[in-house]
Amino acid sequence: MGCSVRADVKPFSKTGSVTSLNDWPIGESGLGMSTRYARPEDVFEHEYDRLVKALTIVAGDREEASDAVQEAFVRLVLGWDRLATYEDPAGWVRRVALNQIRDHHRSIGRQARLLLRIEEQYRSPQGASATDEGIWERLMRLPLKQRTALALHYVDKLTAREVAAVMHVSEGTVRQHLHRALQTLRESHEGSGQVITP
Amino acid sequence: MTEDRELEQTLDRLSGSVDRSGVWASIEAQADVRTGGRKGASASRRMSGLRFVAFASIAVFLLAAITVGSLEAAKHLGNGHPILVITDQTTVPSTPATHPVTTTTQPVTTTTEAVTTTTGLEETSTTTEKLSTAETRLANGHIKGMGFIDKVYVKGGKRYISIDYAEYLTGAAADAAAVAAGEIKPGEHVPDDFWIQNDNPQKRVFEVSDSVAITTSTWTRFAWDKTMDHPITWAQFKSFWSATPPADAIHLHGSPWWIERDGQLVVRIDEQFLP
Repeated sequence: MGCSVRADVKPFSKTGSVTSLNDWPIGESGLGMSTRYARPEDVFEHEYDRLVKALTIVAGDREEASDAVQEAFVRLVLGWDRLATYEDPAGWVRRVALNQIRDHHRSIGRQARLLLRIEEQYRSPQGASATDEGIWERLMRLPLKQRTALALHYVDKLTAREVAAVMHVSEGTVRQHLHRALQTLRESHEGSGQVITP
Repeated sequence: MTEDRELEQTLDRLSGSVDRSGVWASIEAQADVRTGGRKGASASRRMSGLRFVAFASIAVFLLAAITVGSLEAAKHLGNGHPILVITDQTTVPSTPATHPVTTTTQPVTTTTEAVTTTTGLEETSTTTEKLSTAETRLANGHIKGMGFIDKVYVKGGKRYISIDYAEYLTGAAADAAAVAAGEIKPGEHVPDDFWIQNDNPQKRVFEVSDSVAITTSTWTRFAWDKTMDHPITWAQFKSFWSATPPADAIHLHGSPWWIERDGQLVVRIDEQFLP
């Protein structure tokens, strides 16, 4: 394809101990275990909560995340005859739900999305403390890819390699997304003087 | 590691607790509705069939009328009467005419020098097509454009795609568009030096050639191979838009794709790699 533009993976410059992804054993994640499920409701039982929580961080909105995950599960039920043979039906659900969120963001016009994003930045979770509201705002200001990597790694408990497989990028790119996200969170923390964990 | 655990706890707290009561029942109900829709579709299919027959009858009648009219016109025009070909299109003809045909941008009343006359029916008038701003005409006369494909299907034995055109901008144009959209500030640059502008939601449907060439750049089953543009079959391509696409290609229905068409027939489809 003559028009392909490939900005290939830039070398990852690891600085300090911003992230300790290398310490994460592959067996800890859902993908690594490749659980065999007999019924779609078993996938739901094991994966639903974690997926909704992770995608809440990605979408910046609990309702949108729940809708996307539920739609993915509806499709799982409809296609179970075929999907049951897949090595990782939960991974399939994760990708479908992420695509839903991505499509939703794409379908909204750029201008409208900007307005929504501004609003979303301040729509912090109910009952959140002032500190948590500050962190939430900073999270929502992160680019979608960085937020996705952060959510899949820290909430969905996937390894960098697994996040890379889900996001269809290289492992180095995932590390770069995480590195930048953590750096941004840290810098804004230092700027605000608030207590923030990363 | 401690920092990671603290961040985990923070994100866990921010993402809140999940209430799953009634959710599975709702999922099953939605699945039932969709399955039930398919089962109960036979009656509506019969109605659709009747409608199809009615429309087909009208279409056949109109076609016959046009054919008879054309034959009469041919009989009349073949008697040595001149044919006047006038067009006010300014774009380059997509199909070369068999004889020179002069085009003009002048109003019809002032076309005394800008007409071609012939004495037979062999004269072919040009068909010009106004291109979308997302399209460009290639040297070989084909038209190329990029967009998001929302449907891939076969109807009446023919292949079709439905595409929502978008513009792939790079460099200064990308920066300018992103600034205009308010995503970056003046002087900043868009990440990875590209910007996809998609202001017009209009979908366009094109027929796809049986010999179409299709390539993908991000299908992970080819991840072992670092080269781009892996050829794939129509069946593989079509599966990306099915209800249950291959697990390693679930993202491809949302990728931007370049299409190249010869007239209204798509002859080439390539995935645009996005970093």
